[in-house]
Amino acid sequence: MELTDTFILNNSDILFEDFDDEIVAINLKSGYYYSINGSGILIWELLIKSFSPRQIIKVHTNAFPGTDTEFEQSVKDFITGLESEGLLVQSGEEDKNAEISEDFVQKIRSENKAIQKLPVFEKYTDQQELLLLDPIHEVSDIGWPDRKEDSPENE
Amino acid sequence: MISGGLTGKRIALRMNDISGLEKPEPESSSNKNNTQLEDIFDLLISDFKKKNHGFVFKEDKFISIGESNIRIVLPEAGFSSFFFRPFVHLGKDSGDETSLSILCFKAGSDYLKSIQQILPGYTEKKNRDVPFFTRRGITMSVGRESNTVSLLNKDKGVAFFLFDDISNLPYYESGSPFKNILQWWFENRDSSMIHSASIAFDGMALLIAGRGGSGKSSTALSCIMNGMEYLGDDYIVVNGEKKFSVSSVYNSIKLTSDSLKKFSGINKNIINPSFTKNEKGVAFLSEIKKFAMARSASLKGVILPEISGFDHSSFSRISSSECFRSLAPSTIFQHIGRRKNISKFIAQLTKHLPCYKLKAGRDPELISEIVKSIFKE
Repeated sequence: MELTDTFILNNSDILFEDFDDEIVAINLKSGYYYSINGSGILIWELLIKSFSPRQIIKVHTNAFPGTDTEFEQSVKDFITGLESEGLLVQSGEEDKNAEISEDFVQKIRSENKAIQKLPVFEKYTDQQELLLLDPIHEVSDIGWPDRKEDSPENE
Repeated sequence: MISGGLTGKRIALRMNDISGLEKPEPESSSNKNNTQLEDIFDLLISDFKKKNHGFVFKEDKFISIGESNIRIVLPEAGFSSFFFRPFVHLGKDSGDETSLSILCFKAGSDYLKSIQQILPGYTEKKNRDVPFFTRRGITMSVGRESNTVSLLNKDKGVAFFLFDDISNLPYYESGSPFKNILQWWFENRDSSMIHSASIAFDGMALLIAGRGGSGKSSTALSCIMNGMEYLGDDYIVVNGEKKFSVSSVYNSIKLTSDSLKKFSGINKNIINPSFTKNEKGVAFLSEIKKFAMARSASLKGVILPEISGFDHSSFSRISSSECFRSLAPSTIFQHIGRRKNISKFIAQLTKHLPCYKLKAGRDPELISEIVKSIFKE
């Protein structure tokens, strides 16, 4: 991944909902869902608006002076993680003329203390097993969500 | 357009005719789907009117779910013990102002296969996807191994549920029949069928959400056995934008063998007493506590139970996002339809309602006391 890359949601298999303290993303294809926290909320929001990691790091550094190379590395790791989970895919290169406004920087500085923290996401796998079962004929006789004893783990 | 009055063999031929119709319209596959679904619907309606292929209806049942008056048409009186039992608490005497008619009938296996096989993308090959097709208000799904077809024409308020042999229908159909049809029917911007239990007290309701084994059903049952009312165990309809209401759909309840030890009086009502360790026992609440059933109530909040292992119970407030994570994925993943709409609806619901974590102890009476205190919050 290059810092000047841009990203989009990985097709219609991804749903996400934005809460004040968290973004919850759901991968309909894999059956995993994710809790995105800290500055991950801001990064997600800007990534899907086609800003590059370089532009995001710049706006975060402007909002919170003193953030350093640890933050840059954490952004890279975070985005690489989202890519490998199939939530985002690379879409192109940054628009050098696109700018994140100073108003936006002020807004994030005043509204959300959590985004000063490093970006993290937590992965939940507890529903995945059920998703991979066909709800019509792979569940046990008792019905969804009780799985059939001899159903394969993964086909 | 297909006309009715066809024998099983002739239907197969006419289905091929329909396949031929798609050839001059290469511009979009969705357009092709639409043509075929409309034709399937017209065929079913025509055969229904002409009483072809055993489409002989002998019993009408009327229920109301929320604002929807629903007519369920059954092929024989004997089938009501299977298809109507979960709705018996919602029954009404007449079919005035019916908004949805569910025409349920036993069709020949060849007839069902003919319908299934003209679906675009249909394949005999087993895979994880249950085909569904939706356009202009017509939605359809196929149960390959149970050999069923569910089809809803939302604009016309008519649905078909076709099966070939009631003994092939899995138990989950007996606890929650016509589930796909009802999910599609109630799927709107301000309404959804949600995977959750729900109980009511003094006209207010709480959703009890969480995945299997979290104590959802036993929490609901603890409340019902201690004076509260029951709206549902697995699926309920929630309606609203900022203020929400819950409507009951099924009166069935599913319990693990551990839960049944706590509520041993229910054992005699279990309809599948030889269920395995990975299965649950199914019972109908309306047969256990007839007057504990509620039809609808205003929604007060959402609780997520967690079995604590202690005698006492307690609760605490949790965030909207945590509540969403417990309520949304299980509803979304098992929905055969527009999942994005449901995600938005559940997000809206959890943002507007208080959400609680309930540490459910061993004593059912203490659980119900704690739930009552949540109602009073």
